[in-house]
Amino acid sequence: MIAAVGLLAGILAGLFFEPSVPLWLQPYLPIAVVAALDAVFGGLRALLDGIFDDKVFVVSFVANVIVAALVVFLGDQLGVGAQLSTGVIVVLGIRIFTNAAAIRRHLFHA
Amino acid sequence: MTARQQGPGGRGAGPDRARARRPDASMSLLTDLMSNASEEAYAQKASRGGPQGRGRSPVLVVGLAALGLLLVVAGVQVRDRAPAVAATRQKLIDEIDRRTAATDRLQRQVADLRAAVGDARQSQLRTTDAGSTAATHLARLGRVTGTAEVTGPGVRVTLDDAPAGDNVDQSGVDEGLIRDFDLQRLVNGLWAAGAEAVSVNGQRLTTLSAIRNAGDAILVDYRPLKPPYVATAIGNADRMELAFVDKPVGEYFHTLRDTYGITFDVTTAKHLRLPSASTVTLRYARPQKETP
Repeated sequence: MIAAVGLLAGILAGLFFEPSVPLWLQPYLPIAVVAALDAVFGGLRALLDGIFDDKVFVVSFVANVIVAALVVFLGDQLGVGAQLSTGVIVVLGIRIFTNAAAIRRHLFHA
Repeated sequence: MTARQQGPGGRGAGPDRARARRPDASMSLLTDLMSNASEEAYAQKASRGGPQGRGRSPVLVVGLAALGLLLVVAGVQVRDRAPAVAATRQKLIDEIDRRTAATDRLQRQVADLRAAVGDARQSQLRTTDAGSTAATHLARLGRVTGTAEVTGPGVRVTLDDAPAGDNVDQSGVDEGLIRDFDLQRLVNGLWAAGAEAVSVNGQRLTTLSAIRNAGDAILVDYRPLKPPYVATAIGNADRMELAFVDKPVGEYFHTLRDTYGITFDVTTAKHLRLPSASTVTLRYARPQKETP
């Protein structure tokens, strides 16, 4: 319940203040979103497994976002930013799919 | 514990150890990715039996707030950027349209003024006998050089690109587009078949006209043309039409039509009106008799 309030607060804050993303940060935004989604699906799966832990969730969320952005930043500096972005997306995408499949098994037993 | 004490080279007995010693352990990246997708920290913490937060702690609220913020900001970013790109594009298109319209208007003005000048000159010249001869001479020259409007029978040849995307080759070039050399060949064919005046999409061709490509657009006298390309030529209509049946020019376009599906259509007309050319200005060439 209180978690939903937090999510809602974040969404409302984003809608109201419409913070403008600095130009240098914009390339990392999509990657950050995918990394955040990975943490969210991991957390949902843990919740359904009954082993959810809020600290683990928040730390994995923040770490995922930062590490993904850092990897892409490093790639940009090395001149392989696009390739590394693809790599990060592929890895996170596989994890999201696997976790989504586990969630699906939990919910529909199929 | 015993396994750990034996060091990296030791053969472990515990279940953890057995898993770590799989034969494909060095290649397990993707397997791990697929089988252990969920955060292992959850399982570890659960097995350690530590106190589990049940979704009420402020940490979770802050984390989820950050998540919501991130998603919204990214969404807003995408939404804001797409219209900006479209708006810039639309602005450029509007600008092009406006400038083209202005150029067209100025060109009409030039044509009107030139006609007025011509009329004034003719009426002045006709006041004397010698002037009258000169006026006739001038009018004939104007028709030949393209600075005067002409009417007469002739042919109308329509060329158009093949349907978009039908002839794209491996490198992404659309082979079905009409290019400048196609138009050049068409116009040359018309001249060769005895055309006395030729215009392309309303641009009268003179001795100074150039037909060339700029990107994918064809320019005639530096004016971009939009397909379909309609070349009108005044002359012996039957002869010019025949030239497009069996002469090399005709074969060329028939081949293009059969191979790529371009539009190629020749019709004769009893009455064609060709506009005068907008500018025929010589900057370097001088008449010979000025020099002696």
